[in-house]
Amino acid sequence: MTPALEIAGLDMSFGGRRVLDDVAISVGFGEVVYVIGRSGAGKSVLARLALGLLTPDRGEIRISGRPLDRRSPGALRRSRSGASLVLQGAALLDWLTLEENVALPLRHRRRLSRGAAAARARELLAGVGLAELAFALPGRVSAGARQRAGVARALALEPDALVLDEPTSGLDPQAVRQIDDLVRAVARRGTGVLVVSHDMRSLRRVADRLVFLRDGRVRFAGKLAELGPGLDDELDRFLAE
Amino acid sequence: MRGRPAPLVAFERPALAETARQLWSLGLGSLPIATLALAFFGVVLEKHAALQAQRALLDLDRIGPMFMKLLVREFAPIMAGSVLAARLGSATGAELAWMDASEQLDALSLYGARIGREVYLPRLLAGILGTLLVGVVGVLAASLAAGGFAQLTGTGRLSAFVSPRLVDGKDLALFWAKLGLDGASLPLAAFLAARRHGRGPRGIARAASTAVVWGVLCVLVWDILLGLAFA
Repeated sequence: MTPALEIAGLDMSFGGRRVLDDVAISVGFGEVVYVIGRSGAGKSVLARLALGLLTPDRGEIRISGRPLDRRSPGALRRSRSGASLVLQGAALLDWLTLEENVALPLRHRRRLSRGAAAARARELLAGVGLAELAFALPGRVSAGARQRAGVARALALEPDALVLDEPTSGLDPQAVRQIDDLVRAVARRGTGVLVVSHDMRSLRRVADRLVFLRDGRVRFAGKLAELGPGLDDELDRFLAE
Repeated sequence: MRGRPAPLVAFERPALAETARQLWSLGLGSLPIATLALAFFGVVLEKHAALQAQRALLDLDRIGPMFMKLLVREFAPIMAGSVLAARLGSATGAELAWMDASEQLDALSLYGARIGREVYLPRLLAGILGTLLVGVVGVLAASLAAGGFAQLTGTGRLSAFVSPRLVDGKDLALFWAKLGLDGASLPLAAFLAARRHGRGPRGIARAASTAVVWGVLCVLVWDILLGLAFA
């Protein structure tokens, strides 16, 4: 079966330093795959590559079987229409309300009218428990609420694949649990979810599979049940957390 | 922001709501300080002009027209440009660097919004309109303050400072050209500063200060070049 997101043979270097080396990851529909690794392991670069925000030195990315086409901005926009990314810290636009932020992709990518986009945005915000904060500016709500609004914005396009970059970073335990529940709920609807994180508690709660990156290479890829001591000393340290 | 296409890759229609927000925040927000600075400057200039004229036994009524000409051709554009270079330059430079550091620009691009239309053009348009507005209000403030001061101290008449007949078409052309180019240069300087220094708190601070320095330099360069062209 075609995966929701497929990354194959990905190489990426910055200033002569190899950040990702022959990375391959596949995320099935309805599956949650966590990518873990130390800071600087190339996790966030991977998330940005997956949605075409960066161009790899080599390798291919497919969203629902369609390759990411970087020949022009228009081709890129079209070819990644089946995927969304929640950037680190949610990256909501400061000057727009949560509702306007969530309406953004609906207006620009779906070409909905202002009113229709706003109505759908309110539904999406209600879906992540933020109905009462629809008209608040991002700076006026908690980090957890911002993150959930970021997920709502990403879900506005009903993506086949959703990539989240450090979604629980800096959140309190209650907010972390809300995000974890949200990720699970998104996967239950059939969306393939790739989470880039180093939060082991969330991983144990949510992940179906795990990919461990070290020095830009995949050192382990498999189910949590397959994990055991002795695979990699750094992975052992992660697991001990 | 490094690696992004140039900010103004194509002529697009600017997002009007964002243009209005920028104009409100930067153009109108700069009016009080620019008006105050030019009013104060007008009073000081009138005082010293009157002193010099009295020493040289010149007709004090000649101060008004000279003052107005000097204000429109030289002082109003350079002062309005400098005030806006500080306010608009630092605000826009820091805002864009922050938008880059917090990945808001990536989010815009990711969700299909055109960054030129949503971010750069509104700021460019607001910069031009705001600078023109500040320049015009600044001239009014400076001439009224100078004329009022002259009237109060008996060194001239208010009407000698505020008549539009005191300046000719060439003066006005120079005034609009300087303000227009200053208004376009200041946001562009801020865009470039943010592109150069973005990412992280240090990058944001450096983008803001660089935008001010480059903005002031632009104002000075336009002043000299246009001054020569309209000499």
